[in-house]
Amino acid sequence: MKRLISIILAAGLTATLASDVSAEKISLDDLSAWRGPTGAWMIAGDAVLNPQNERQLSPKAGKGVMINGPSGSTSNIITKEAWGDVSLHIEFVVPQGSNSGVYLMGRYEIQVFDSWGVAEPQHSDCGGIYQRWRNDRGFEGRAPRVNASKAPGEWQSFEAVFRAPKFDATGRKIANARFVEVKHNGVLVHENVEMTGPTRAATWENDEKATGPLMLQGDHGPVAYRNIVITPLAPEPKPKYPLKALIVDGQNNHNWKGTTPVLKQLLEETGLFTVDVATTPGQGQRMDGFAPEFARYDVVVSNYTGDEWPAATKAAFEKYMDGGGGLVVYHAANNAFPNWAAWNEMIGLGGWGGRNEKSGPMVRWRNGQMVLDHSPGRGGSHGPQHAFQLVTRNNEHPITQGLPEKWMHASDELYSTLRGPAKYMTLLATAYAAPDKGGTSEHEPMLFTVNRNGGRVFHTALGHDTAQLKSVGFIVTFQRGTEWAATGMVTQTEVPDDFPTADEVRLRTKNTANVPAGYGKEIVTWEFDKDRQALWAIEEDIRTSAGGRLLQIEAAMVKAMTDPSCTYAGRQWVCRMLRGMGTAQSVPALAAMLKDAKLSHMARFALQDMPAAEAGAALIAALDEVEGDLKIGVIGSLGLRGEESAAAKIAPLMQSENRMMAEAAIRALSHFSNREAGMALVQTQVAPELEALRLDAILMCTDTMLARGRTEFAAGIYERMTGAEYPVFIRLAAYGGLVRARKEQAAGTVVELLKEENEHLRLAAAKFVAEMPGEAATKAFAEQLSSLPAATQVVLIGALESRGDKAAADAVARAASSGDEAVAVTAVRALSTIGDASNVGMLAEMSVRGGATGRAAVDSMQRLGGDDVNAALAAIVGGQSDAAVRANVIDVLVARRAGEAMGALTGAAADGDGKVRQAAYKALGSLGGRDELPKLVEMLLATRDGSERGGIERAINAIAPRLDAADAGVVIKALNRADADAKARLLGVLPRFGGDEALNAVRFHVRRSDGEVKKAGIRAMADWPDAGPLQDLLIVATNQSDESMHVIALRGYIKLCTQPANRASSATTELLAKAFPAARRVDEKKAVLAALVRYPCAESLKLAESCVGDAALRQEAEIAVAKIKEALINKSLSATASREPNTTGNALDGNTGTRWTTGRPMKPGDWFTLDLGSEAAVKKIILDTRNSGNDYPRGYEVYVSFDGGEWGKPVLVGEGDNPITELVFEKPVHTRFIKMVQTGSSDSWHWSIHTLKVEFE
Amino acid sequence: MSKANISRRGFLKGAAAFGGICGFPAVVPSSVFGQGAPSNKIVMGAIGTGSMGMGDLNGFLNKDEVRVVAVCDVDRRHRENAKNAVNGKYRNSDCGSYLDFRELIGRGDLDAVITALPDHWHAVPSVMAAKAGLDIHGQKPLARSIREGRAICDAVHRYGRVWQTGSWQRSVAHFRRACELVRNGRIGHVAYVEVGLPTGGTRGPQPEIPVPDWLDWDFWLGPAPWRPYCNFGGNGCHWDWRWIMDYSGGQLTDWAGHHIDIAHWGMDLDDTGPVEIEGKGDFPKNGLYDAPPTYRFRCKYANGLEMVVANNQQVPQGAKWFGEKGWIHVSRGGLSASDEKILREVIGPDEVQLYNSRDHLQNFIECVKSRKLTITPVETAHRSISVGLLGEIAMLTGRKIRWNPETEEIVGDPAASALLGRAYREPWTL
Repeated sequence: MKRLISIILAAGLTATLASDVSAEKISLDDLSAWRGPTGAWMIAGDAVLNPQNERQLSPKAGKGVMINGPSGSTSNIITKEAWGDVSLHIEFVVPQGSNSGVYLMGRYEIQVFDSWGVAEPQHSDCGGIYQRWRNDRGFEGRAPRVNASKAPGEWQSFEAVFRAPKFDATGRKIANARFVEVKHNGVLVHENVEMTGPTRAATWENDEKATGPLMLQGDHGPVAYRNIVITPLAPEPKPKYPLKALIVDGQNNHNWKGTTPVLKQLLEETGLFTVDVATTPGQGQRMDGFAPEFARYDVVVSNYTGDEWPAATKAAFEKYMDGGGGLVVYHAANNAFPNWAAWNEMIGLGGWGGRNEKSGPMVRWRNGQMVLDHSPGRGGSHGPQHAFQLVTRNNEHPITQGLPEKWMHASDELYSTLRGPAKYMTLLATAYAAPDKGGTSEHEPMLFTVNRNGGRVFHTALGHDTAQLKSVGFIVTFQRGTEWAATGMVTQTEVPDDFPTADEVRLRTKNTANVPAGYGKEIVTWEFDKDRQALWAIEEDIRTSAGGRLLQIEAAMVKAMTDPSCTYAGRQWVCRMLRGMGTAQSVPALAAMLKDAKLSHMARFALQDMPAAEAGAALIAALDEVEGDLKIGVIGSLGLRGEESAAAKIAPLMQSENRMMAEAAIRALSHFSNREAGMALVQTQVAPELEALRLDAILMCTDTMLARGRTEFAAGIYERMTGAEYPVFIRLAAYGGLVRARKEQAAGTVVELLKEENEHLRLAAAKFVAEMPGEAATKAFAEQLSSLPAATQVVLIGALESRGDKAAADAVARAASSGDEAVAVTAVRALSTIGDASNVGMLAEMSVRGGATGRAAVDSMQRLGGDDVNAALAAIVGGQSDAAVRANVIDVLVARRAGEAMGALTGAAADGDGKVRQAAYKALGSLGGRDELPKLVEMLLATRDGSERGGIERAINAIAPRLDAADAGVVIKALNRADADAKARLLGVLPRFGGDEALNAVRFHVRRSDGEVKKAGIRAMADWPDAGPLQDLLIVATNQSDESMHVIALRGYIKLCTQPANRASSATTELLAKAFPAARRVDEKKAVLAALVRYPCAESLKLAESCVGDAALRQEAEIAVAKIKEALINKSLSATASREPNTTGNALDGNTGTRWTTGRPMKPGDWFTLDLGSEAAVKKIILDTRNSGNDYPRGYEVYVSFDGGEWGKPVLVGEGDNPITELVFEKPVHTRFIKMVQTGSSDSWHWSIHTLKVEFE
Repeated sequence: MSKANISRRGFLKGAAAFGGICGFPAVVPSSVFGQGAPSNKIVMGAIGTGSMGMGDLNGFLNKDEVRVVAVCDVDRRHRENAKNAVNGKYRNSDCGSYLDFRELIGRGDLDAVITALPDHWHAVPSVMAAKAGLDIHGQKPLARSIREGRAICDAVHRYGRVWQTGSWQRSVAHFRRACELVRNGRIGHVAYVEVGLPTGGTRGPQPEIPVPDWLDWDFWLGPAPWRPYCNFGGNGCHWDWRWIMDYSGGQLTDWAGHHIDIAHWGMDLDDTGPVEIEGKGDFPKNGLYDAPPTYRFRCKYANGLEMVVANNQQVPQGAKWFGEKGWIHVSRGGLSASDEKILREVIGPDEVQLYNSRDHLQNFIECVKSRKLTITPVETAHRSISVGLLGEIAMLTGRKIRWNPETEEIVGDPAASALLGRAYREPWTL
């Protein structure tokens, strides 16, 4: 925010600053200009080489020089003041081998170093602009043009002209920091060097600001400074928009005639440029006359490669560039002028035209940094066109700011091995030239900038032909790069939605071509009852067009609308369209229509929300020109548009005798919030029947003022309108406003309102209580609670609960003891929200009162939040309270699923009170686990009481399904010590565990016991969770003479036969068949027949048919035979699926026009399961997806099962690559259920099956 | 005035001195609150008594707590039909009947109104009724445009009115159950929701025909652009206005108030909206209807949730939430889930319990008395239909729309912003 303000201030103060530039010399009489701590820095009169050690400086007494202490290693030192654009003069002295630096804005360093005598200075030598540092690598350092260093111990100087980075209103950087020039000892060592960010070891290395202090490095060696003079610069003049661009073309071995118009369009659609084109004479023709006035343009875009320009034109171009011009090098333009030295420096790198190692190095990105590759070879190459990925190497430059790190570019030539001087280059993006695409296996430079002398060059190697110019990555970087080359700034900071991603090419599909002549002529004759296809086509065109084409469509529509012969319907339709796209160009035509009784509404339809300011002006102008309904309409639109300047004109209309006009005027003013509107509403007397509307308008205005932060003013108005002289509903609204304006300070007002006689005001007060912020407010309300009538207390308690503020808990808890039941119930319920563990005791006591209060207390305890609530409840269970209280609390702990209360619950199982014990058993059953099981078993053995044992047995039964088979050991061991009744109960529990050990225990007791114990054992087998006791049950059923034991055993046998076991139908039939000879009653035989139907096969059919002769079974047998035959003959396919299971029939209906689909892009794990209806041998399954060509499964696994319950391992695994997927089994698979699991994935394609065919053996 | 005699309309008493926006009552009606006598009833008027309006009217006529005293419609046949129904119910001839809703609101003896009008007529009467201090049961969708919806919300909030929208699915147990299961994490974190709505149709060009004598066509059009009268479908201009964008947005805006509403409820999004909307509608190429019969758009919410809204040929009708642990689908046909077990889950007492209303109209009556929020309050209705209306704007412009649900502004697209409201045909103003 600060940055924003400073920019605005800077802009506003431009004129002042320009005339009042004052140089500021930092006083070195002391260190008061510098931030503390200043370390060892000291003031001296001079600094000279230490004669004993030439690597050190010796101070001389006096003032005016600062030295970084005796050892030359202390903290860096930073000015208190901060600057933006400055010119800087600074003098320094270093001893032999020493090192320091001058950091503009604390961020951008000019290196200070003992570089005396260095022949080829680097960025790390004195006067260099030090490199930046990221990921342990340096980049972008800039060596001084010449080494101007003096000997160690001699005073030297820098003169720098520096521009701070610039930011837009949202804080995004639009221009880099820039050293306009740097002189070292009076010699120009840098010109026009842009910094994409702070240099290494800056005070702030990771951010950039609009202003910053000067920082001098003090920790790298002895140094002294003096004569530091900083002169703030007037801001640079803003660029003049629209910018003037010149595209140069005329010769090119590329499609320049096609690409130039697209480039022009791309620039024009930004709204930032006007574009001229300069076309050279053709190849081999005289070039003398080609002399564009470059100086008239902000930027030149070169789409040219061909014959040499005349020498004078080249010279003019060099002059233009050196003087601050801009150049965009587009694709093959870098093939031009291989022998023009200045050109090659401007473009940095070029290709073809005989370029080779003598032209300069190649630039590559290796090991995370830009490197120059001087190895020999031709300059310029590319493989076949293909889509490739760009990698943004610097996203701090305004051109690439905000772009993703990786993004795809449309199929294009990937320019490689470009060669050139490669000086003054800032690399923005590279692309990997893959060897399988004829590439170099190098990351080749694709986008970069060159700052040579005063000029700015943006170089894009992309964009072979018009197809490539649709690539959004090209478009965005071209539009941004051209603006930067023209101005040094990029104001197009938004990254559009359709920018490509790391793996998806994005093309601009919007149509930007010119519309043909006669476009939209159908509008003129259109009538409401006519074919509207032509109009639909324009509507669709608007949806799919962009840039200048939209303006052309608009112009065509306005032309049709203003045609004198145009129908009403046609004009109306145009206005509808203009509503969502109209610009200033259509305002004059619409303004004229405002006066037309039939068309005025439609004109407002287009104008009311049109962004152009001209629309508002047209509506205001119309106020004086129309009357009656049309004026009412205009007033309404002005109100909704918020044209506050119309307030003065609208205000007198509040008194219009036309009631609708007066209403419209009041409503319009209610949408304004300027002083005129407010004053008019407050001061104008209106007709009595409009008074309520006027008050409403005042409230609306006030609401807007409040929203705009005029809190006290708004509160004052609201307060006045709460007066008893106003209607209650106005007062209610005013109170609402007051509460919003005053916030917690309005608590007193709300408390008074709670006591109001008027019910509506009281109820409104409760709403304010619920919504007003602050703990203080809670306390104020809570204090009032007991003094209010019961009905109001109910309302207030509800409101306090809504606040959720625990500060009200005590007051609400007191209200819970109220004699008024409604108050008590509301308070008890409220405690569940605002109470805590401390309320548990009271609630527990109340829970036994019965009635609404008791129920509310139980409910409240169940819902009560807080960590220690369960502990408090557990304490009550173990405490001395009434038994009924403890029983209730135990139930509450169960409802709360309070596992941590297990100790108390176990204790309660030994409680002296029977009700408490039963509650505890139930709780242990619900919440208990492995630890509670042995305790419950011991309890069962310890008592003889039937009802106690019943409760304990239920608890064990409830726990067992949560445990493993191994846990049954506790029960099995206890069997030995148990009496007969306990044995029977314990045997009944064992099927819940299952497992061999438990089954053996059951077998033992079936064999060795009799009576109820034996029967309990047989029942346990019948209940067994798997087929384990199948044979045991058949033996018992066959041999047992006791009728009831026989029936239990046989029924159990039949049931276990039908449990899922992935068994073939014939095998299950064989098992079921064995039940027949064992059966003694017809009922069990019927049960076998009913079960057989589920296993259709030849054997089951035979078995069912064999029963038809038995008169007692005939009916059931015939039904079974019919059903089995049906299943065998029809082979009725059915299916289910992981997604869209209701539409699986579409895959089985033989219709290729319908389909089953996942309805979302393919993901591994989606499945489709076929039920063949009966078992069969399957050879092959064919999935046909031809009508959704890409929706075939990318990968699949196929499983089979006899019962659809167990699937085992896949029987087939494969990958799909064709709209017809054939699942062919190695040998026919005998199965009933087949599950196909999709294992591949796709970002865009669903998995669908249009038809599915099964081939049987 | 003793407490027992406080009139439901008594709070407006002071307004009598001001005459009143639509003629505030000079005489305080005898309706009294809470004593069981005939005069304790909630006095209501019905605006719009076509098929939907008669459904609502009959529902309220069957409530003992309600007394309907006035009906209003621009179709004389509807008006007479409703008047007869009311008089028949009460066995008298007292029911007032009006062509102009302003006269009904201006009677001064009403506590509440029910409105069942074409969408383009939702905002003006609703705002006017709220500013006259009436409670309102209004049909969904809340409004034809987002700006209108906000104006209704503001008026209702400002005067503390009770509002209920006819999104009755929230008062049906299995819809609430679905939302409670989702809210309580039974399918895990939900990052994707599908909302399926019905598919619309088309109709060829229609010739102009004379306006029938029973209809005030100009009033029916009201704030919408003028057009000659024709047969919209089977029943003159009634019912089938739904498919013409001057009056409604087709099946999308008809059903947004149902299934998007439920999707929002399940995700606790009742007070906010999406931040990005993008999609495509198949606008009819010819004929009378211009709302897209088939459509599909995608909304992104600030919390990362993605919601796809499409007609039921593209996604199953209803609301379907996809969570990390499975999915839940709810429609009028019932409730289903990726695993039956999810549907058997119990919601514990200390978990999120949603507003429980079993009888939609009864909930309105109770809230008129208690002044509490109804099951479908105005802000909720506004946020539900806003999604449909934003989808409409995204499809109309062919662009991705960025939406700021706090300020209710489209970000960075002034042309699309122009579609958030509509200029009214004079002399109607908002």
